[in-house]
Amino acid sequence: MTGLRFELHRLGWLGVALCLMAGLMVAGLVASHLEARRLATVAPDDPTAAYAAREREIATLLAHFPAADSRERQVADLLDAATASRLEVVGGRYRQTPLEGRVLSRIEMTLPVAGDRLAVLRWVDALAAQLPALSLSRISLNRAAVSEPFSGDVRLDLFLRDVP
Amino acid sequence: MSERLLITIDGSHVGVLGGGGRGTPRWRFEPLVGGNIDSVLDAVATLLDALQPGPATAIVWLGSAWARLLCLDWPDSALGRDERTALLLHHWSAVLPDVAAWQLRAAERGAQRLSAAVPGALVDGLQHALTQRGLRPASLLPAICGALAAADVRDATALLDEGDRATLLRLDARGEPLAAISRRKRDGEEALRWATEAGWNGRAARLGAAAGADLPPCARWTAMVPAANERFIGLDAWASERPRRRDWLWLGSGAAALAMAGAATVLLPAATDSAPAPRISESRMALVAQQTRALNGVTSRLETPWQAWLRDCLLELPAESGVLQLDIDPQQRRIKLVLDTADFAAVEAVIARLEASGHFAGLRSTGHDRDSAGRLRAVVEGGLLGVDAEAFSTAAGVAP
Repeated sequence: MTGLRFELHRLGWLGVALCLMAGLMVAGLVASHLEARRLATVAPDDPTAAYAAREREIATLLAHFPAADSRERQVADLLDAATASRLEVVGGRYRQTPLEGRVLSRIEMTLPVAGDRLAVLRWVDALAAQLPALSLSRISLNRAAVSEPFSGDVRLDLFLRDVP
Repeated sequence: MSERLLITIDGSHVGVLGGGGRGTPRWRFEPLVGGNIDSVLDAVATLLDALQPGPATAIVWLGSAWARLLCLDWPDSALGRDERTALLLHHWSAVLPDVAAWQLRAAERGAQRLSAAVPGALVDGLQHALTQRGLRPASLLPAICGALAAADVRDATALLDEGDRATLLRLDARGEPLAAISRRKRDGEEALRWATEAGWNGRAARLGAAAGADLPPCARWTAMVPAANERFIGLDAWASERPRRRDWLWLGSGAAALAMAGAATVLLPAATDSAPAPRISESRMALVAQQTRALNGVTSRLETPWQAWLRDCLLELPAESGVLQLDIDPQQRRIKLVLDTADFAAVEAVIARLEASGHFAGLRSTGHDRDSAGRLRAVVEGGLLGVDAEAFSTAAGVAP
């Protein structure tokens, strides 16, 4: 007790008042933080930051897809690769549908093809190198004998970016 | 401003100087009977009761009969409080037989080397006697300290002559005490001559008024009462009202903390209130969620190893085996092969080779027939690995 009185005496009224004011301010700050935390638990979280970050990620990913206006060039590249691989593509049907979210479109391509197995493999390798936004939907090939070429249908999905 | 009351205590008398708020200050004396602490406290109580002072600030000076002085060589003036206390105790233990009974004080400003010891029971008793009568104990100093502060002696030997006692203090050019000694005078010894012959230096300054020889020594100290004695403030057992140098640091730190706390209190809410971030709309959140699902589905589709499936089936089969039919359906995660082989051992070898690739699982023969040449046409069916079937529905597109 004597020590406390001694220290208070040393500080003087000015020191004691400053200490009290600082203590009150710190207490007020802590109380306001506690209130903010309480309100944060009551109110729903603001997801703005998370969604804004997600939008940036989406834009980054979309930049890797070919644009929708390059659709004809993409199909031409696919057919050119078949020709170069000595795979005959005798026809084709193309159907474009937008994907959920309206940022990508799917070009569903059904291609009747004819050629030997090496031609098929060369074409597949060329597609992997030139059209990375291409995915196999179904393939059905058959031949009467191992000495004959394959014929059948290849269904591919090409994904294109709808946004600039 | 409250009245000041000076209480002086030497080896033979206790004196109180104060007007009690009425007229010119005057002395009252009480001789000490017994010469112990109790007699001092009794004399002080008697004087105060007789004086009946109003609210006053009490300053107490102790003569060398009650206060001891010692000059110390501190290794570092920036020592912490605990270290200073420990050193003080160490040095005074060699001087005082029962150091625990004494209050030890070191100067924290002014004369850094000077330290004092006063009987703890005397300090406590005086404090009790003063506070009991509504007086505020403000200062308790050895008389030599107050005298030095008043005389401003430098580069000399300061002498305080207190009747049968004399106290010598050697001071350097800055007035800093270098050594202290207090002793009882021999019969007929002239204190000033003794101080001069002490050999510390050639000059000795007598502190205090030489006049008033008929008064007790403690009364003659009145001529030495300084206007301010903060030079030796650190020796004061009751401290001073003035903040010390370290206290200013504390006060500065407190003020800075106060300013920072105030700034944080004001600026933080202002910063968060002034620029509220606009919340994203529900429809935009739904759109982002849809785009996320679509991209996840497409990414899974694009990671499907369909080139590897075809390579395994058309290129990596064992010799003497050929594929007549190939049907791969990633959405159903199914593969169907019709193999042209010599026998079932070759079919088994094909299944083993395909499964070893890590792209197929659960391959088995589901039927066979033979061609006109007698070769085996085996049907093999199984599952595809590395494909996320759900991705096909996610990336299947929506109605335009």
